[in-house]
Amino acid sequence: MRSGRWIEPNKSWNDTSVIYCQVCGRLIPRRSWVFEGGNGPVRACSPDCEDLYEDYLKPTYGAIGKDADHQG
Amino acid sequence: MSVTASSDRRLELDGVGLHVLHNALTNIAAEMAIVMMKTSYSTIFNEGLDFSTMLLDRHGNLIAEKNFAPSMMGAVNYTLRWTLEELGESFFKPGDVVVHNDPYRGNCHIPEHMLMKPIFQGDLLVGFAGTIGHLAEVGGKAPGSFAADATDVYQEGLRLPPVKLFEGGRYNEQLWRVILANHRTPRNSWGDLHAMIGALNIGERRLLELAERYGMDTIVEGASRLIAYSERRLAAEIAELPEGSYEASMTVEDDGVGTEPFEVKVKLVIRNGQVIADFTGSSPQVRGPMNCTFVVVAAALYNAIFCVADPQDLIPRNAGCYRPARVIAPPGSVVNVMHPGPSVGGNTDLQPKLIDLLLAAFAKAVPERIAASSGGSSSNLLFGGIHPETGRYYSNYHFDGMGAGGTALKDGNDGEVTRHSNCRNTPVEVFEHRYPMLTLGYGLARDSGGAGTHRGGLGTERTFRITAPEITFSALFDRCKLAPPGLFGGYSGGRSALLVKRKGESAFQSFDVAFGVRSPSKFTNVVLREGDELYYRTPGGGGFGDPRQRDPMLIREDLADGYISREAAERDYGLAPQTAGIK
Repeated sequence: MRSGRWIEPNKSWNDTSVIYCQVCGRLIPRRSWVFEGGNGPVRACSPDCEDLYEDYLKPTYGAIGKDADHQG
Repeated sequence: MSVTASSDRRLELDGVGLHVLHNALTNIAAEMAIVMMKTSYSTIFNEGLDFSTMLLDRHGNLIAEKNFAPSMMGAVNYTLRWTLEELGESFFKPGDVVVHNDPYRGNCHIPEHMLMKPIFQGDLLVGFAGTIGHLAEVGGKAPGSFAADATDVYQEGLRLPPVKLFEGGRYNEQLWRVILANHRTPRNSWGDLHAMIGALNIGERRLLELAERYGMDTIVEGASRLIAYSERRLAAEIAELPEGSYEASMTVEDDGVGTEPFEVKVKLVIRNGQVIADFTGSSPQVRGPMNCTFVVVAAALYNAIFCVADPQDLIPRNAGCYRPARVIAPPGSVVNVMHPGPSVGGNTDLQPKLIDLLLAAFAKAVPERIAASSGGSSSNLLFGGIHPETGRYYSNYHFDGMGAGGTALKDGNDGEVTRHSNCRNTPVEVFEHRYPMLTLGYGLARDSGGAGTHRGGLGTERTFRITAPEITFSALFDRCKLAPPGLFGGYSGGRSALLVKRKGESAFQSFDVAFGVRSPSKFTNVVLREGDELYYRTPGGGGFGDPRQRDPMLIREDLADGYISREAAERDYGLAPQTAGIK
């Protein structure tokens, strides 16, 4: 059961920063899939990454810390 | 979605019909590639074939490709989809051509430029034509736009987020002025970008012609089914592999800025018809340009999976092929560079080693399907200056072949440009005509193939002489200190070397000795003068299996062909001197 929801960014065209998925590392071009990771919200690129987190990443490395990219 | 169909012919979307459609779409991509090859200005396109062409659906999913350069597979899979997500479908209008080379937004590295053209039937967006290619010169601190000592992206060349080269069929002159003012060889960039645009126009025209024949509804539905078919096929092949978790790691010799090595680790998880490649624990991103972007790592994984699960290239290459593969690449690591980290060498010289690393992990699951390490370097030499015959600035990005790894079935290929680039070398005649360097010698490097039951392929060696008053010369290659490893008892392949003999001197020496550069294989903007000579040797492939198990007949053939020396035959293969039989 997925718990996340899409979050639209509030970003101006002249903001050149980019963000990446905290689960797989992919670019998040616009909206984020945000779900509860057990240690705070996790910012992901898609619902598939919530599945990847629950099925593989969390059992392998533990819950991702708040606002921290997965660094292993 | 419903689109207009003016067709009076029908194509049933059964097995035969899908095969016909797949071939028709792939042939369009192939014709696009021929247009690019025949009309481009730079040798990297018309000789090297360092580009790919593709058709994509309106959502950015690949439906057909002519994949000259597998290194671009990750960008092909992601770049347009990410652009659509960032800017929205409404960003694309009829007659637009969008260019994009931003490494932090889905491209391989700064030289790789992806051009995307929306295809409309009437006012309805039905798909995209795309090309991606390595422009030979895009500015930055070094001619050839490969600064081996770059510490940020701004030293590597002009960075373009998705912006329009053409808007509604008209030149976006302001953007063209910026691009041409920032490239050292604007005439070449003009020609090469127009070759890419010509390919897009052909792709658009042919797809619409195909729609006249079969109807766009049929094409859209058929492409969707082909994608689903490829996903099922590849997942089924992966499901045949032994499930489990397989780990491998490697040390890379340096990053171009420092002299310290760095590590890359991977854990390959095969389960449920899916492969997860988890690079957690790899080194933080390095200061020099050996970092990879996410799409480069994805391309390496696709490449390794295809080598293992579809080596005969039987599954239609489209978006479905990429779905059973998942990459985990922590941002800020050497396998997922973050702004403003440099990445130009990650694509050319880390990616081939990533493929070898992934195959080393796969070897623990399916040893009979794996090759030993390839030479693992694109062997990049970059140079430029004022050509003495034309008075114009020239610049060249040069790569060379190397040895491929031996396999369970055969020796590795000789002098093959890396498995991730699949490019052709530039013929000596073309090279000498275009650039002020004379080729004094060119051949395979004896004893460079790693000994094994199946020997690694041989690297190449060349000798050049400079024929211009001066040239600005750079290099970015690898395997100079750490040789390509063998597999299952096979020996390592030979290491690479680049030596220089200044005019009037009698001996060759490495660039760190001759010029005081930090790395003998990664340096930028050394000035060479007329009469100076270069000796360049590329790495060989690793051997597969115990050399003492090699068929003696093959050893004698290698001796006769000059592939191995008598000393190597005796030392590595145990051939007795009295039975060698070849003087």
